[in-house]
Amino acid sequence: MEHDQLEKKFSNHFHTHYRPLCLHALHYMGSVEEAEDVVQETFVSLWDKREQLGTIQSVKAYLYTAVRNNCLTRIRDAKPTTPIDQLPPDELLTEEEQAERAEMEARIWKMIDELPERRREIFLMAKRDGMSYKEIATETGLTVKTVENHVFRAMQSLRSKDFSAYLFFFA
Amino acid sequence: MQQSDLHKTDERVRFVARHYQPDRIDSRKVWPEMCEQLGIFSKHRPNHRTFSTYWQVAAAAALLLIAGILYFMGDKTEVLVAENERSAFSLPDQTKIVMQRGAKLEYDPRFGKNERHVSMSGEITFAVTRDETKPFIVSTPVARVEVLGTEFTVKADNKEARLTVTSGKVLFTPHDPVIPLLCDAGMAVHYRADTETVEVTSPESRIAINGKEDFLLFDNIQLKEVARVLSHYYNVSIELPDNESDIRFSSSFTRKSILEIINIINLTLDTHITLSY
Repeated sequence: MEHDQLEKKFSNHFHTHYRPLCLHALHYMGSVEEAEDVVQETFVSLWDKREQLGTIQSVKAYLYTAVRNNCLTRIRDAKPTTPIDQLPPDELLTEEEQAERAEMEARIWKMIDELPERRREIFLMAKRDGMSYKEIATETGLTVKTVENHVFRAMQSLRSKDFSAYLFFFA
Repeated sequence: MQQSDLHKTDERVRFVARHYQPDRIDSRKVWPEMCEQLGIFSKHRPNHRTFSTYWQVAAAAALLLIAGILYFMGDKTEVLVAENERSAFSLPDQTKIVMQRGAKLEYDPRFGKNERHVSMSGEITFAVTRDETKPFIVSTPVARVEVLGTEFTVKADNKEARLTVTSGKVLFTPHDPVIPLLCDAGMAVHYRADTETVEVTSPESRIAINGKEDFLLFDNIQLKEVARVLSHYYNVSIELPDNESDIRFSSSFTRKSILEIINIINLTLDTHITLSY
């Protein structure tokens, strides 16, 4: 493969899979910084093997497995004595299900990213902090109805933009 | 959807919300550092960069260096403020500018090694000296304009940015949604940050984007440009056969998924656009 084409292919894989892979890694590492680290490291080693890029049957499956392995290696190296039953319990899902989950979470992340600031704040209070609409209303000085509206619209933007694509690909 | 699916969705939303941090996990922001690391030429120039711990050692070293330089030239940033109706200036690279009253321009008089970078607000017309090796970049509070050598006018404040191109090509990138728009002579762009609306008009064509309403309009736009806008707007990769890239397309979409849009285009024009995941 020509160098230019290789770069284009690699760049496509990077932009397509970077965010889902980070979410995938987040389930193991529990920290966004570490998750991003592992994924970048994985892409660096993919680039080192770029000449084989054409021969890897499914680059996506390769990436998910590589990220998972790199996560487990890190956890083991950080705490060599972690008993096997204390590893993250995600092994219950098949690899395909894990990728599916990561892709959906990547869309949710993007949706939150794109919310107007005020709505994002309120949305995070509800979903991250588990506050009730009433508690959020008291905290922000808004009416319960307005809070409800913000959260509803945030969820709606998740459905309208990406959800049908999600259903089409993975349902 | 079934009950269990709804439950699953909610569980995932909560997982993401718990870990969410603005400006993280964004391939476009990480890509330039990735390219540097791998020795690839970066084709994406994001507005701001985020470092992950992977880069922190290098970044810390660089930061010491930058801090030193900044300290050293702290008061050397040149600031131009136009107090008169039409004030003309010449920048160090011989770029000519005309500033309307109240316009403000800031730059490092030595300019960068790889690019010529200025920040501005108000209304300024630029006649940029051509230098293919150093793009001329204008930052406004809500957008970024990138050129090689050309003539154009920017009018900008904290809420909106307007661009009109007199000659040459200009790359205009609003901060949100981040869609680099390539503008030719005769084209004008108007971006409003609060409503997330972008409008690109030329005598014979028009693109309108409304991020809040999730509305997209294309009027007589080449498919390659349509594909570029869609790929940035939906953050996906779109493949378009070379022989179809110049076909022109007109339509508008409200709250459509990227798949629906691609299906509509393919059905109307009998083209073969695909989404690569």
